[in-house]
Amino acid sequence: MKTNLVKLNRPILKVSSLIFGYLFWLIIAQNQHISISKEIPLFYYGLSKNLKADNAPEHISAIISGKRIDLTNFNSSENSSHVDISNIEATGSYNIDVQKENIFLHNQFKLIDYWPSSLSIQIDQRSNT
Amino acid sequence: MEPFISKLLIFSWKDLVEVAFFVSAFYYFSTWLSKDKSKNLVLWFYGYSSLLILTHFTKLTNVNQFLIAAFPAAIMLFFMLHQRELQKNFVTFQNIKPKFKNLDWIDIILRAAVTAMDNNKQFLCLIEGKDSLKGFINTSLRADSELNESLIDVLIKSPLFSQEKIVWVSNGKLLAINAEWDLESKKVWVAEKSKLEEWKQNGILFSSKTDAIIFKAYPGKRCFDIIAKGKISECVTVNNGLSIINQYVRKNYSQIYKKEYENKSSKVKQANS
Repeated sequence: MKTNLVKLNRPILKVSSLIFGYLFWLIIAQNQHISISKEIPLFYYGLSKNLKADNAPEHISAIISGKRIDLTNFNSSENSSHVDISNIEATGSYNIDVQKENIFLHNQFKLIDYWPSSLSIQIDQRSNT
Repeated sequence: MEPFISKLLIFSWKDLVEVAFFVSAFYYFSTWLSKDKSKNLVLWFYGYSSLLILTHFTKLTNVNQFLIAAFPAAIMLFFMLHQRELQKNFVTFQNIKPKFKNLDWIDIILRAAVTAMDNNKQFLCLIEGKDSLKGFINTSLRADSELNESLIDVLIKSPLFSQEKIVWVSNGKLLAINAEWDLESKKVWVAEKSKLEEWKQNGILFSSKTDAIIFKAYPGKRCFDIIAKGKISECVTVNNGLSIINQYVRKNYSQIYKKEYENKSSKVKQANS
């Protein structure tokens, strides 16, 4: 029987195998739940207007669990941590605890772990200029 | 680089290993499928895979789930259809019912064998029956021509003609000369200590698995060795060789020969009346 055979040489097979292989993996892995490490922005609130926090850490690291496809779209603006430092009234060096309740994540994600749980911040007088 | 890789949903080296696994599996399977020269198995496989991927991303859930469930069966089907697997199990395609232009083609081929003997050459011939041997034979000199004496004389007398190789004939047509068996598992079954010549071993194998007939003419002995249905008839004269081969060929195409014979007889009767 006569057939028109398309000649597929090795480079074409390699490229198409790369594309198909990746897509096959993607289909299986897309909705898979995984855990990854992410940097979450850290915000301080409640500090008196005449005080400022110098060299305070701006991020904490966290292990977050979620669907792979959702983790690709992890948005820092929707996921952050907020620490209340309104009880600080004078300048000096302070140790602040970061609790789980301070970390706010989108419903798609689950917090597995985070660090550091305790931060050291320097509070100075704000200059009136 | 990392944001780009993250966009591909790859977050760690383990993901890369997994992707590499799928890519390698796909590549090696495609390479194996591409070795089948008679069918476009690679394209069928790519088509099936593309359909599976497309139905997933277009959220055609039912079709996608069906294709995923049928995927193992599809892979098995590719295995079964692959030429090499068919070769190992000696599964042949069937030739379409031929229309003989010349019923005396067996005479022609035997006369060619005699001509070869007259030219002090051996003549090894494979007569294919209903079972197609395409896929089991390799040749660089295809003819695909109606058998006629002049053509075959020219080919036999040509310096390119190799008396150790096969003249491949099928249903009144000369398919090729200088053909060779193409078998992966050839070495497995050819007995190392057998006294039988290799062409005879191959002949016994193929004639027992298919309806092919193989014969060889020896110039020194002026006789034929004929192999059909796994049996060897050694040093047969030309006349006996003709009747043996005719007997097997006519068995394969008894209806065609009967009809042609009736047509011939009625023409003769009309001419006489």
